[in-house]
Formats: sequence, structure tokens, C-alpha cells
Amino acid sequence: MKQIPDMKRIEKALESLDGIQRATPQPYFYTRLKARLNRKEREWSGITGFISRPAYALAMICVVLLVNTWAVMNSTNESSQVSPIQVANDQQLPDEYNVAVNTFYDYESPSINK
Amino acid sequence: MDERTLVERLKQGDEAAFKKIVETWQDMVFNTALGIVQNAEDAEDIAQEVFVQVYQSVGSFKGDSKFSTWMYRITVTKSLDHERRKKRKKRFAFVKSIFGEESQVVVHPPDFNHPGVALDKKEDAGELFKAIKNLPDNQRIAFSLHKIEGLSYQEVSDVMKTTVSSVESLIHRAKINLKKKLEEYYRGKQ
Repeated sequence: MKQIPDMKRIEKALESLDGIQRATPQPYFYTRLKARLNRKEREWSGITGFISRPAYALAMICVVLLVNTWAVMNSTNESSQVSPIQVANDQQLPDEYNVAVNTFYDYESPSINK
Repeated sequence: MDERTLVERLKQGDEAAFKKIVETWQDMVFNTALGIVQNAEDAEDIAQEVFVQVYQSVGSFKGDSKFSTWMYRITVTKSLDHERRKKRKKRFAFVKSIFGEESQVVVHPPDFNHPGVALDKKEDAGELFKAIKNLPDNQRIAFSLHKIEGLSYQEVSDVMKTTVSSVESLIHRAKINLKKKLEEYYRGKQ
């Protein structure tokens, strides 16, 4: 059979924080805090300093230009290399449904075909 | 110098004002963090992080609540974040140890003793702190702020951005859970 624990003991434990005093940090807390703040500021200024260096900025500009050039070259290559199947498919739909738009030239100069 | 002037001066980057703020509220921040994480080194680390954030983001303090309430909120958030990070690290170390990548020695921290507890209550308080650690976050925060920091229900509700009746309910449920935990502990001892 389980024993019932002493309820007084439990109550005593629950009341053990009554009248608790505030804990305080170790002395020279502000000095340590300032050192941490300075360290953080140095880290940040290191990063911003590196980014704002002319060599880094020039390198980044070159990278951006290269990526742009590559993208432009790629897109022109793609547009010039359209497959014959693609062309046929593109033509099929207007042919099938007779939605091809006659040009102004066709209406105005039928005699050319004659 | 009153609270509002200090905050205004800190917003302008006045270092003397920052020093005064730290000196005024360092015990409050440290004690709150210590009550939550139950480790003096971690509490010091959190307290420093809290003041770093205060220094960096005082501009976002609009003055809708008391400055101390704002700092309590930062402290509670940082403490909970710290605990989650620690748990994640432990889990990661455990997984690593399973795969045999790194065999770290698992260090079990000694029982926590709050320095502000009277000598004759240390043992009971130690058991109570162990039980507090197992409470759900909301109950633990409400109970700690009320019991360890001595905040009223109204002040706790301001910090937790909830109603007084919610805080009453959280503390009531916390007490029931703590009783259960202590019962289990003392039953095991008998």
C-alpha cells in the first residue's frame, strides 16, 4: 500500500520561497556588460568595414555584371534555338481552328497571289 | 533622475544614463532570469543579453507600459529562448553520441540553490525548484514572477500581456501541479 506523504512537509516546501531575497549578479557586472557591448560593436563594425572596402565592392560589382551577362547570353541562345516541333505546335492551333489573323497586306493586295 | 528622463537620455545615446539603468535594474533582471533558468552563469549571460538589447532597441520603447515591465518581458523571452537553445544543444549532442561522432561527457548540473532563500529553508526550496522546472512555461513564468520577484497579480498580467484572472488561474494550476510533484517526491523518499 502506498504511503500518504506528510502534507505538512509539502506545505512547508511550497512556502519555502516566502520572504526570498533578490539574488544579485557578481560584482563589476557593468564592466563585463560594457566589454560585451564593445565586442559586439567591434564584430559589427568588422562586418560593415569588410563590406564597404573598395576591393570587396568592386568584386561584387564584377560578380553582378558577370551574372547579368551570363543571363542575357543564355536568353538570346534559347530564343534562337527554337525546336522545329515547337514551331509546328505553335502553327497547329491557328491552322486547326482557323484563327490565324489575316494581315492588312493580304486584304489590300490580293493581286499579288494571282 | 526619473525613469522617463533616463529612457529619453538613453535614446540619445547617453552612456551615463545607460550605466544608471543597468545599476538600477540589474538585480531585477538577474533574479528573474535566475528564477527561470536556475543557473547563475546562465542568468548572468541572459542579464547581459537583456541589457545589450535594451541598449540597442530602446528606440522601439514607446512608453505604453512601465520601463520595468518592458525589461521583464525581454528577460522572460531571453530566458525561455536560452532554455530552448540549451535543450536543442543537448538533443543534438545526444544524436551525435548515438552515431559515435563525439563522445561528450554528459554533465548533470548540481541541485539549484537560490542564494536569497533562508538557510533553514534551503532543502525544501531545492525540492520546490526542481518541481518548478517541470511546470509548463506559462505556469512557471507566472509562479516565478509572483513568488521569486514578488510581483502582484496585476504586475504579472502586465508582463505576460494577459488578464489578472488568467494569472490567478495559472498560479492556481501551478500550485496544484507542484503539490503533485512534491507528493511523488516525498512518497519516493519514504
